[in-house]
Amino acid sequence: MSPLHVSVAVLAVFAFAACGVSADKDKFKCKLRPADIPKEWVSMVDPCVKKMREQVQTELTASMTYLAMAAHFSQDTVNRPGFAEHFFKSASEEREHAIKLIEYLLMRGQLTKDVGDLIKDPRPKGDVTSWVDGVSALKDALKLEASVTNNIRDIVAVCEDPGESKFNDYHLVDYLTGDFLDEQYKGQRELAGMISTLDKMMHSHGAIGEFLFDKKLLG
Amino acid sequence: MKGLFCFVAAALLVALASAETGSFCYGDVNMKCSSSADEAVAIPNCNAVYGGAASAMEQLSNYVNTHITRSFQYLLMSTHFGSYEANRPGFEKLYRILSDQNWEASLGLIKHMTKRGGKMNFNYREADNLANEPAKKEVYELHELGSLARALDIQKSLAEEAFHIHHTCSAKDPKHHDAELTHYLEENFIEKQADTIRNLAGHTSDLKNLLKSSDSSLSMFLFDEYLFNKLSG
Repeated sequence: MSPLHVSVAVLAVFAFAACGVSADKDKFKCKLRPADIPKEWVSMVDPCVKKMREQVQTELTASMTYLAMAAHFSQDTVNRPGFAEHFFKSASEEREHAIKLIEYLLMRGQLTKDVGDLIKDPRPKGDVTSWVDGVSALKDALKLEASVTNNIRDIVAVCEDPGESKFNDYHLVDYLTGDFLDEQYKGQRELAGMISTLDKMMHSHGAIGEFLFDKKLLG
Repeated sequence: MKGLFCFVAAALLVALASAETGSFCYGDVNMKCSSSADEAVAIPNCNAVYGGAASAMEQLSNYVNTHITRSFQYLLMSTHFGSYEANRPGFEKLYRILSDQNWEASLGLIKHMTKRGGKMNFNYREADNLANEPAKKEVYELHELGSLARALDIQKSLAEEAFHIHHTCSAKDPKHHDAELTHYLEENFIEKQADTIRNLAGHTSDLKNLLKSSDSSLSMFLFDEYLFNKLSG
């Protein structure tokens, strides 16, 4: 540090201190007194909360993967607007799932701390951002959904029987089973059906098959 | 000998054709459709690329990635105010809306990039000018005024980045000039950003005045309720 820098720094410290004293009565009261809230109702246990928090990142990774697919099929030289529209929709749906999980945790009294650890720069899975054809993207999508489904089943298992605490989280398990798993299974069946239709045509009618299928997706 | 002559003549014709057609799709197609076409020959000029947009694709990719990052940051800010301890439904809603807007903007921009013959690069990221020091963890558990200040900084930096891209595309240099892209940015980013920034600055001014009293808990409650009702209407 040069002498000039030191003197500037010293001056700055003095100025800051002076400011702090003279401006004390003009200071904003930015932080309010925290409320005293009973904690008995906050009943979720750590292993279950941890699993739920991780699922937020999993859903957002799925979202980014779909966004990469949507971007790929939007390209002028790929030109599959039907596929692109389908995947843009899927990307936003996965983001909605992450938000639903967050809202559930908030409802149960969670997420009062370490909010910053909830989302860690989600990227497309495996950094894959191009696909050879429509059917290969649909197959990747189905595998992705199957892995997400497995993750949700894992949360259910942990939250039903979290070990030591023996707190069976009936409500969360019901929510995951009734809302999330229901949507997963229906979504998987839809993707499997799409792959079935398209894959049958790919062998001998690939070019026109994919073209027509894309227009069908466009509705 | 005759065979060789024919070959040379054909090669000359091909060379002549490519020299004449330059970078035109029609030339590519003619080549590709001629009887002597090589299977491997592509049609590199048959695409949607024109104007200066192509040279802005890296910047635009970065802009998309920044919007996605900001969208997640707003989601975390919203989450904090949604917790029972903070319990500010107005602020929760404000940041949720900003998160949604940034997400939708990134989707729209990807669509526009591909409309202009570009490709979205999810890995192209310039240094984050708003990032905390690398050693420190990003903080999302902010008090009300601090969160507005953060949001204002984020929106201004997004607006200034739009100006920067706009500047590149309005250059006199025809390689970068692109009237369509500047128009798109103006209509879909620049105009809206001015409104958002003005709103956030207004909220900051109101809240700043309310916080001068010795106990601002009631002011904060009323302000949050006002925000919630305004954003729900």
